[in-house]
Amino acid sequence: MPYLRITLLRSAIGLPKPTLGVLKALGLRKRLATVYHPVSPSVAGQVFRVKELVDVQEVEERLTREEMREWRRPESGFWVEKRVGGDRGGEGKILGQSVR
Amino acid sequence: MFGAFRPSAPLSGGLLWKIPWRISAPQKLRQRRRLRRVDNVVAVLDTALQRHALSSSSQPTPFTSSADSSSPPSDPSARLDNKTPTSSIATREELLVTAQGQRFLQSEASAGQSRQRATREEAAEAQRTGTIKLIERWKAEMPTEAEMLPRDKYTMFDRKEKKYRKGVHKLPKWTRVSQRVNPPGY
Repeated sequence: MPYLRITLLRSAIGLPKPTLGVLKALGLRKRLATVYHPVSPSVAGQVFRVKELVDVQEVEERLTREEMREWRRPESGFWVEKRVGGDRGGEGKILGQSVR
Repeated sequence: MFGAFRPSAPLSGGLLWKIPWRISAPQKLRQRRRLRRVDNVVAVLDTALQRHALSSSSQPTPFTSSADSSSPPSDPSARLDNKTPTSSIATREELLVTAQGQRFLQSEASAGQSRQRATREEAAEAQRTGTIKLIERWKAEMPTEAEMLPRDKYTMFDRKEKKYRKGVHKLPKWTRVSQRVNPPGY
């Protein structure tokens, strides 16, 4: 099921009150907040009303907060090829998670 | 004369707007990016809705039926809005006296008719493609960033200015509102 991923990029401070109401209805409370809504004409109309403030993408799956956090997390920048003195040489593991 | 309380222009003159008359090159660059961003949002909504309509036409959902039922009542209000601009200060009889007035009335009538026809066409197009009337109207009326002239990107109509143009950066909240088209002829 397709979703619209809507991210508030610009604040609606100082804009007409209805704009703030639309953002509230979409569930966008502060800048860089991201919400997922199923693709429908009513949601599209709401997004259209605040098109100058948001970024929109059509996605297949809606991600939870934790998943979005993981998705945003940058790569650690290092990986363990071989442990010194470890019995498991070659297999890289950090804090129980296998790494590349 | 000197010090923290020297009589400078902002201190002695109350409200002083310090908006330069000319928009700077980086401001123009950011303005173009904002315009493109809005174009992108509209395009994403358009394609998403069309795809949604295609997929739901095979398996009708209750949502599309509710959207169909809600669209006809919105039409009369739009037509009412179109009637209001025709009411001008001079009455119809006064205008009919002069040739110029008659031309004005004719242009008004044709403009009103074409506008009404346009809204109806937009509604029909929206129903056909599965998008909404707002988006169809935007696509019909608003030029994209690539189609716009530099003149329209960076300046806007103002009746009080010399040559009727001022920088778009003088518009309050100009980075968060869409200002693309100007009155015909200006």
